[in-house]
Amino acid sequence: MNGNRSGSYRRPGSKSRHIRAQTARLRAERDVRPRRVDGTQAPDGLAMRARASAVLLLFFLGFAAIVGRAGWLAVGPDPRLTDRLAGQHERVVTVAPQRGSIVDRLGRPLAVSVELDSVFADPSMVEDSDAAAELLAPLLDREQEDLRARLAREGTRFVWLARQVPTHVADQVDALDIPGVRITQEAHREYPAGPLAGSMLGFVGTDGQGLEGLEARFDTSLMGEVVEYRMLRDGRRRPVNADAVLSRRSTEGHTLVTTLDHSIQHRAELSLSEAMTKYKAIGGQVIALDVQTGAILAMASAPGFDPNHFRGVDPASFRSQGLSVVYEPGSTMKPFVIAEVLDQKLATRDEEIYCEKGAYRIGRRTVHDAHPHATLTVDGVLQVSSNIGLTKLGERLGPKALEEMFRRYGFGAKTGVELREEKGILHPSSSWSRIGFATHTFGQGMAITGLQLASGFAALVNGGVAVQPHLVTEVRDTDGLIVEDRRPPMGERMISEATSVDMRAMLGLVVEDGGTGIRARLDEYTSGGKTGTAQKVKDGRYAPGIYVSSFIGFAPRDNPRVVVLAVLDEPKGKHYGGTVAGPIVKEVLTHAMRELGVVPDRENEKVPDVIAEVEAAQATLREEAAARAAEAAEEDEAEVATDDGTLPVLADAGPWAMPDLTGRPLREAVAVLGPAGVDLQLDGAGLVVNQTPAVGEPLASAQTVTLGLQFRGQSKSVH
Amino acid sequence: MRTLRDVDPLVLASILALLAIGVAMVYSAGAIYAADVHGSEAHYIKRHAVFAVIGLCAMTGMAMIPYQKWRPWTYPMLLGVTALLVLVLVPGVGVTMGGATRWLPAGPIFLQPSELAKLALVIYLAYSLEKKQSHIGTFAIGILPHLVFAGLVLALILVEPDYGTTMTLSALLFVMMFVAGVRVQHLAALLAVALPAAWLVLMGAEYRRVRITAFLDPWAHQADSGFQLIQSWLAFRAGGAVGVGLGESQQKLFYLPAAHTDFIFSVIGEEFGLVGVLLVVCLFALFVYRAVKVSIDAPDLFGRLLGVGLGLLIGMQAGINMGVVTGLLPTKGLTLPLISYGGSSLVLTMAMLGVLLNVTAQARQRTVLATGARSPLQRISSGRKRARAGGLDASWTTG
Repeated sequence: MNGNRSGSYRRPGSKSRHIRAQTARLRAERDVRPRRVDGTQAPDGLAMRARASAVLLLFFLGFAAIVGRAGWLAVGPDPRLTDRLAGQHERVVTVAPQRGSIVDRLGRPLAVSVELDSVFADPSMVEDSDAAAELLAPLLDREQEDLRARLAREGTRFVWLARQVPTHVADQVDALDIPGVRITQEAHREYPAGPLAGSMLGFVGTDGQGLEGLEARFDTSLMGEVVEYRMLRDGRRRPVNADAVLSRRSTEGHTLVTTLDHSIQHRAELSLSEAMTKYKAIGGQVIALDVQTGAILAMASAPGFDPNHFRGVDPASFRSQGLSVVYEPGSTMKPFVIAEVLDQKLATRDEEIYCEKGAYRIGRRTVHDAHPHATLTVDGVLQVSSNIGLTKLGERLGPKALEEMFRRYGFGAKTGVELREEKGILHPSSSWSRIGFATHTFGQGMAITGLQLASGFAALVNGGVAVQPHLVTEVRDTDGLIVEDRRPPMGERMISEATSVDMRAMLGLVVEDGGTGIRARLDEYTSGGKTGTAQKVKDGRYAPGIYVSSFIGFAPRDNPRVVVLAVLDEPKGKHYGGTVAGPIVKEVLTHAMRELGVVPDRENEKVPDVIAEVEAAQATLREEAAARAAEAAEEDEAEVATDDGTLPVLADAGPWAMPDLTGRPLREAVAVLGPAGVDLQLDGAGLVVNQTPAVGEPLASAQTVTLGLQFRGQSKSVH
Repeated sequence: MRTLRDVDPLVLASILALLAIGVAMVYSAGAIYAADVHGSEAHYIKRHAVFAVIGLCAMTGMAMIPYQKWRPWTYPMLLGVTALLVLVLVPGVGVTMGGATRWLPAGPIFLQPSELAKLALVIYLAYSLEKKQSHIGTFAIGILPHLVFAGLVLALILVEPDYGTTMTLSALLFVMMFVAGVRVQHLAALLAVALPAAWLVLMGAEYRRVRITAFLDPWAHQADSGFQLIQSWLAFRAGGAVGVGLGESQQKLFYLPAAHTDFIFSVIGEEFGLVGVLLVVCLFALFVYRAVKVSIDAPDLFGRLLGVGLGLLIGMQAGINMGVVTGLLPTKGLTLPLISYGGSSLVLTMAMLGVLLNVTAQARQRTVLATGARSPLQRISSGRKRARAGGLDASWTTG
């Protein structure tokens, strides 16, 4: 190629000559162009080339402008473009999962969600409302005229035709393929067991949100994660490939596995409702607790409600009475005091306690036993439920240790169960009067919830270890995998195992002949328990003839599995805990034993042969006699130490000891404390409701004494 | 056959490259829309492929016809096209789509007379400017007849309305007169009158004013009149430097109006980024450059003007389309030649390119081949050296 320059083999001369000649010829061709009339030279090839080049230059400038512009659009610093682009194609579609189920401990459904088909129409798309109504009326079982009116409704694009119809009806409607008539799915919460466990399950609102009970407490888990699909959205705001995404309806809320046993719960509710009818009580509760784990096997509450039809029900019924009702427990607290005395070796079971022949003065007041006893062993004190015996045993503990014991078992505090609960009332021992201290030993002057009692009682008989009452064991996902294991850990030791064994035996005596609870005795299983009958407090005073009757029992005696508490509020006719609540406990415990597969460990006395029947009849007679005796024995419990109205004497407990001033007007308090020369700090006005130091503590001169004062009616607490 | 072998390879290569890009992009940009509107993703690509094949046949056929044969058809064609343009406007005959009446039903397809008008007008201008070459410096003979005839055709197209084509052809009229040697003073005076007149026409109708304001500040009208332009811009922004990849455009999902026709360049910008933009622009630039440079060596003035006119016409249409979608020019319904889905207009475009190819073939037979260069690439690489060596004006042989 560079041969031209080197002038070697390519005959350069002839080639360039040839080109030159050619060029000259071309020029000549152009030059023959005619002259213009105005005398100027017509544009020759060169002039035209120049003009064409100018045009091309313009073109390239234009193209360069386009490239520059595109470059600026593509990568230029324009936040408006970047911002506008961000998210333009994304559309977030939330898919609400189907609400998870609530099941009992064996997986039996208590609350489930179902999708029901509903038929709706877009009237603007309905072509022939008459024909459509005629077709649909028989299928949907609706008035043809009503349907026609709906189908022809103006100004709306959505009318319901029939909600929650059976699937085969929806399929038939779908098959008709009427323009504008469509099917949609509506989520519906079902409680297949009706009112069963309603007060624990709660219910959901119209949008499927949990409003009460476990439905509310575990709303998030049950609802499941609302899945957000980020999907491509086209310019018409439609999701791209939405069908594929939306068909993935695998999202479902988590399943709640409860501790409840469908069958025991049913038995508990049945027994409670029978007793409610029989005794015309205003309320009642039955709690069955696994003594080892604190799992709530059943918790019946009356009056109850059906979560399928919660509207119009008194909201008070929404909560389980075992959690919401605070009552004075009475004698069911006695085993706690005795266990503590035994555990601290302040007494032995066979130690004889002098029971003052039925009347025991404390200060100016007197504690009574209905049936006077001279002496009773500790076993006997519990068996006949002697208030005086308990008072004397309690004195060995002292008020502080007594209060500490109650608090250790969880009285006066929330149990920590999954549902809303009351914490009860337990005043500090420093505010107890001397008689107040005495009444606390037999369960008066404090208020508890049924669940507190049942879980505390479980610790008494299970070997002495506290349990955490709970309703939910696991939260599982759709695949059955455990998302959350809620089984509580072992609780703290309350009493020694030996004491617990003693308590089982002593509580066993209560249901044996001579005890107060023989009506709660199980036929096939050994058991134990304690009655409780407490007068109700109305307007700050014990109201005569109005009782809270309860029984708490457990079985089997030597290896307890279940503890059952039954409480009836204001039973009419009879009121003894053993009589009113005992049979409920018997039924529920027996059922629970069978349900849990516990081998019967007690010979059924009702053997089906003639001789046995005679013996059984005699036994029945004996039992009835024993029951009468038991009722008589129980009268003790209903008795309340009565106020004799005199002023407590300061000099009682030594030279200067703090007297009990609670319930006294300030004027009297000042009169009593005046001689001691103390520095009086007052908090409030009215009657003394609490005091520091506590009753019986020594008072030094110039010591500060603080009195809390309130007018009557400001507090309903009873001391 | 000799003619076919002698067509300018770079013009042909750029045409085929753009056509190939078009086939790919019509499928990519139009599949979703086709599936949505016509029920088949392949609706447009099938038709486009068929038209491309017909177009290739038309181009080949036209390339084989010596361009001189069109000379006697100048006035019949102009008359025929004018008649068709009038026919379009006859109520009941012309087919209206999207508010514009531009089509005539012709069997299975719709014929767009304004597409025919392009070829007819270029032939007319080439013929007339050659014929009046002796009086080209005068206004009365050099300019006025062309203004009148072309003006008539343009007016008919304008009322369809088809502003894009009107704009393109108006620009072509000026450029061809300029290249043909019309006095610059005359053209300047003409522009001084025409531009304000065009402005008045533009602002005369409410909906056209809306377009102009949307063009001037699309952000202020991004919900309505500025939506299309903003969406087009967003396509370029989404594409960035190297693009999101073939078929990955999201703007074509009904954000861009007519992604497979008027806004196909935006989809290229999104899927191939600046790289794709540069490639397409360079191909068009190469095409225009070669078309003009080679045609100018045609054996006669008619051929030169014909080749230059056709090359510039296609280049201008491409430039206007690309200017529109990047927001440099006001929005007009105008396709990107060779790339947009266009049916019959693709065939007509390629027929015109066939005529152009014949011009290039004859030009090369006359000059370049006579210089002995065996291949265009060889010629390019050797031309300058040869020119230096032989003392020739470089522009002569490098072409």
